[in-house]
Amino acid sequence: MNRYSLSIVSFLLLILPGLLLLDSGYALAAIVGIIEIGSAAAVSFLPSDRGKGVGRYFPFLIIASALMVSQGYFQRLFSLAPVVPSVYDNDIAFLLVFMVLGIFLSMTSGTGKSMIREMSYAGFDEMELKSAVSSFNTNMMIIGFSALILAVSGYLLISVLPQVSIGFFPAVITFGIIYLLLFRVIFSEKRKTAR
Amino acid sequence: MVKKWSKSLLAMILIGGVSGITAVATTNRYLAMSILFVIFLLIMLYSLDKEGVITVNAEFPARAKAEEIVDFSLLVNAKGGFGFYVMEFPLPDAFLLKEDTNIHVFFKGFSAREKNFVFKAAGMRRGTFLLDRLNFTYYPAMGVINKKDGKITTGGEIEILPKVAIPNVKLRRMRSNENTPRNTISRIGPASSDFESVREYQTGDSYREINWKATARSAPSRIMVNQYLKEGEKTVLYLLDRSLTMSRGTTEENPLEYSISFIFAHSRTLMRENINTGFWTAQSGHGFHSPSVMPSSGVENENRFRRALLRVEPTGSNFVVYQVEPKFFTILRETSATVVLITSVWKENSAELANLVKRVRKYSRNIVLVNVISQGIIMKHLLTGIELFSGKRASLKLAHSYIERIPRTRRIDWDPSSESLGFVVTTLSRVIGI
Repeated sequence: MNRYSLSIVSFLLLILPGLLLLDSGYALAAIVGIIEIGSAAAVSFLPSDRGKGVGRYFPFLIIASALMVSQGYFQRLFSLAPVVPSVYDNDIAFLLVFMVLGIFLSMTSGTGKSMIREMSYAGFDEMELKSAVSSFNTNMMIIGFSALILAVSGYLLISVLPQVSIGFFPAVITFGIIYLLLFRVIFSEKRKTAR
Repeated sequence: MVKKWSKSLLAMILIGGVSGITAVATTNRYLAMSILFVIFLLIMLYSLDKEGVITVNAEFPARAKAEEIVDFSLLVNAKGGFGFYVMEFPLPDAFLLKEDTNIHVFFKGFSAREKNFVFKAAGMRRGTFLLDRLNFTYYPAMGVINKKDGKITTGGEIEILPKVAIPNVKLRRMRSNENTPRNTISRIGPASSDFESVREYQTGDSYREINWKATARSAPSRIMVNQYLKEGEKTVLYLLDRSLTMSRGTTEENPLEYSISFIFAHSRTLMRENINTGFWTAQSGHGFHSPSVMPSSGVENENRFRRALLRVEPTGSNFVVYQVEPKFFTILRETSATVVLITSVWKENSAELANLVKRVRKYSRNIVLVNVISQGIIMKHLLTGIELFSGKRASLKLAHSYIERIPRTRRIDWDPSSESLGFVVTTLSRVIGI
C-alpha cells in the first residue's frame, strides 16, 4: 500500500467526528466540524515528516480538542452550550479510537516518507525503497485495524459483562501498571542500543 | 527515520495515556477504547519483535578480467523478525559499481521473505578479492532504536585477471638473436609427445623411436629415429621487483601491473613450449612471505602462476633493499636457468639492482633485464590527449646515468604507454630464444 492510500485511509478515520458535527444542523457545530476536517487533512497530507513546524503538534491538538469537545469542556469554556449541543459528546468519544488509529496511520505514512527521502540520498534504489515502505504500510495497517477490532471487542466485553467492569481506583492502578511496563520495555530497548 | 518512528510510538503511548486518564477521570467508557487500542497495538508489535534468521546465497563468477562488468546475484531469505532489513554486500576498493546498487532494503512482515538482489560491478585492478560476507542491520518495527547489526558469511572470492588481453598465440620456435650463452638444455625429464626432428640413430636410443619411413628413404645403413622434445627442456625464472618504484603511476596502471600482465602472457607462451618456468619476487625487507612458483610447465603450472601473480602486491617500505628467497638461488644453481628480472630503473633502486644482478650472475650468466618505463604511464595520465612520441627516448636519456650503474646485461626497455604487450613478449622470446 503506497503512502497516498494510507494517507487517505488516515484522513477518512480522522474526519469522522468532523462529519458528525457537520451533520448536526447547528451552524457553530458545523464550523467546528469544518475546522476538525481541515486539521485532519493537515495531519494526513501536509509534509510534516521533517519533524519541524507546527504540523508535528497537530496529532496531539486534534486528539486534545476531540477529548475536550467530547466531554463538553469546550462548550462550557466558551459558553457555547446553547449553540453546540452536547448530544454528540458520547458519539465523539466513541469515534476517538478511530482518530487514534488515523493518527497512527498518518505517523506510519510520515515515517515511510522520511525513510524514502533519507535512504534515497544514501544511494538505495528508490523503487526498492518504495516497495519496502509499501510492505511496511500494509503490515502496520493490518496491525492497526487488528488493534482497533481488539479494542472495540474489549470495550464491548466490558459493556456486556458487568463482572469485568472495574472501579475508579483499580482502573487507575491497572492502566498505571500497564503503562509503566510499556515504558520500561521501550526504554530498556533504548538502553540496549546505547550500549 | 528511526527516530521519527520511535517518536511516533512514544506519541501513541502518550495519546493512549491521556485518553486513559481522561476516561478514568470522566468515567466515560468510550474513551477506554483508545487506551485499549494503544495497549493492543504495542503488545502486537512487541510480540512480533523476535530476532530473525537470515540466509544468503551469493552468486558471481569465480574469475573475470579487470574492467569487465560482472553480474552479482544475492538470494536473501529472511525468517522471523518483523521490521526492516538493510543490507550491504561490501565490495573491495578496487571494485566499481556499474549498475544498480550493493545496498538493499526490504521489510520483513508476518511471513518469511525471499528477495533476489542483482547488481553489476567491475574490478578495476587485478587481484584475488574476498567477497565472503554480507553486512545487515535489522530495525525491528517495535523499538526500532534497538537496531541489530550482523554479518553473514557467504564464502566466496573472485579473481580479477589483468585487463590487458593476454596474447594466446603460439610463437614459432626461435633462436636467440644475441651472441650470448645459449639456454642450458635440461638434462632431466621424460620425453614429451611433441615432435622436434628426425636424426640418425645413436646408441641408447629406443627401437620404438625408429622412423622406418625415413630410414627407408635415407642412404643405406643409416637408421633414422624421431627426436621428441623433453618435458621442461629449458628453465626460465622470472624475478619481479616489488619495491615502491614499481608503483609509480595509478593504482590500475603502473609498472607492477604491466609487469604482471607481461609475466602472465610470456610464461604462458613458454609453458606451452614445455619450458619450465618459475616465479619469485625481489622485495624490500618484509620477510619472504611473497608468492612464488617452482619451475615447471603444463596447465597446472599456468594455474599456479595465475594464483601467485594475482596475490602480488607492492611492498610498503620506502627503502629499496632487495631480498630474494634463498630457494630461488638454490634452483638457479641447479638449473642454470635464464633469469628474467622485471623492474623499473630509477635513481632510488639502481644501486640495489646492480647488487642483485651481481648476485644472480654468480649462478647464471643468462640474465635479461626488462625495464618497465613508468614515466610514460605517469605522463599519459598527466597530459591526457597529447601524443607522446618521444616519451621512451626522453625517459631513457634521463635514466641513462642510473642504468649505467647496473652491470652489463641484456636489457629490454618497455614503455607500456606506447608499446604493446605483444611487442615485449615477442622481443623477450627472441632475446632468450625458445
